[in-house]
Amino acid sequence: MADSVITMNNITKRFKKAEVVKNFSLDVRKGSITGLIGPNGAGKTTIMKILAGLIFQTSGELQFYGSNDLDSHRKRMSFMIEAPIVNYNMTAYENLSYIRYIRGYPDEKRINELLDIVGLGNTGKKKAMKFSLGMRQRLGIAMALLTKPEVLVLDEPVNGLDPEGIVDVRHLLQKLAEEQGVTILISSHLLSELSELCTDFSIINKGELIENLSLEELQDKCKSHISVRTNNIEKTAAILEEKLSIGNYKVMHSGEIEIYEQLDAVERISKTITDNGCVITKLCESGRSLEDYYLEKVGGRHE
Amino acid sequence: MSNYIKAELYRITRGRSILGNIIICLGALVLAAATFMQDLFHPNYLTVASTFPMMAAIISIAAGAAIGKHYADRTAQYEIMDGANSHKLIWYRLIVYISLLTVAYFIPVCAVMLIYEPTEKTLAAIGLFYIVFLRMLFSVIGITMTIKTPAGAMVPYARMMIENIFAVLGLATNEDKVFDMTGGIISVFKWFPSTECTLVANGMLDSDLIIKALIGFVIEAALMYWLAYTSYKKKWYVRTTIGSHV
Repeated sequence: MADSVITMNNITKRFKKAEVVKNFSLDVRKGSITGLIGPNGAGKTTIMKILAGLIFQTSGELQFYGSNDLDSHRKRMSFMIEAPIVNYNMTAYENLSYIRYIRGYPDEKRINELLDIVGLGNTGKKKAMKFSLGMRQRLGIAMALLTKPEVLVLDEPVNGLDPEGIVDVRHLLQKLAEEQGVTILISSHLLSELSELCTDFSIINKGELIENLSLEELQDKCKSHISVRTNNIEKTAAILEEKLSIGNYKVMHSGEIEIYEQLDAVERISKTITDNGCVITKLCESGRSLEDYYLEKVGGRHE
Repeated sequence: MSNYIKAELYRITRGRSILGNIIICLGALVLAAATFMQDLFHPNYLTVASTFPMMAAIISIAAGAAIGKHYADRTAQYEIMDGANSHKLIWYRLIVYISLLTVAYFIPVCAVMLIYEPTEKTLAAIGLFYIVFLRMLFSVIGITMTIKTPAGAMVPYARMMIENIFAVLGLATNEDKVFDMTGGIISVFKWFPSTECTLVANGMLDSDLIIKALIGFVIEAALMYWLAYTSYKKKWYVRTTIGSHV
């Protein structure tokens, strides 16, 4: 595709006899935030390592911007894979300076700017070995953002962050995607976070791709019922059956009706109920969360 | 490549206290002084020749340790993730460590030899010593880049110990030699730095020996370069995770 930044076609990675990734395909569009979701050992990190050039795939094709010249395009990308790679004997500023030298980024002022953004502006001469897990994570994120990359590949970037930090990172990534058009591929176990952040999802389990879907497709698939509350529940139930031919509904103890069919006909349902003399006090599309959907797809338990 | 050179110089000079840096500089000077320990009052090339291989091994361990730490800390991954060319990765390390250690160790040693005995023989010996010095550095950098752990730094030390044993026990001119280096598999050791330096220490420095040392260096440097290059190109066991898991 023309606007593809990362294209993976039938990627397989084998370590000796263990097949860690099997025929995985993914297309990451420019400007999208793609969430890579899967349980521990699903192969997410392996996929990211392949993207970063740390390991080769055993088979399959990988392209960046539609090109096979991966190394030259890696200069436009930043990766944070597994635990942040931090030199523990250096301060936060020195760690960022080191990355600035490696990547040949000219703007030294950006270091202090980034330290303030990730909340490490006041760490001074404190060495990274004395940082908490969350602080190292913030430093890792700053190191990934230093060169203003066009593509960010982040493996569990909010690991160890406090709730405030998680929200900060989410806002930061959203801002990068919206204002600068940065393409982001992110993995996380915090599915609620991903569902608020991502525009696309890729579900992987035991090394195999389960499904690639957009946020719209996910919302569509997660739609499970329409909740209606009116001033007259019995009459509403009769309207549903007689006027709309809806038989698959349930009257809840809370006084609401949950409708399980004709989920695309919200407007028609609303109009029909109102036209027949009932007052709607609540009407909403309800559904499963990303977590529910994911658990269903990977066969996990959900209570 | 200048980016990587700057970054490596930054990495090895930062994160250490001033005292730590002073100790490292003093350490290099102590090693330079220790090179003359066989005969402190006659610091000529004959004196240097007997200790030089071991000193060169020890000084190259410093380079191996610094590079090994780069892998242990996983900071080496930044170069790969930057899409670095494998040749650049080898050359920047060679440039940084050969330059630093030449200045910190080799030049002071040569200066002392030349001040004490400024002769053509001394210059020829310096040439041979530098070939040995480069050979050790190529070896340790190549091995450390191939196995990608700080343990790579110990390989030249172990190698020099073995070489020394063969050089001492099998020296061709020594009447007490335990075995003959002129035939069989042992003859290979005639091509190694320890034997070459032992011959120099015994006053057998000539152009043939220097040419032999040069050939040995070219072969070993080519082998080490190939190993390091192939290791990167084919991504042999790139340490991507803390611990031994790939």
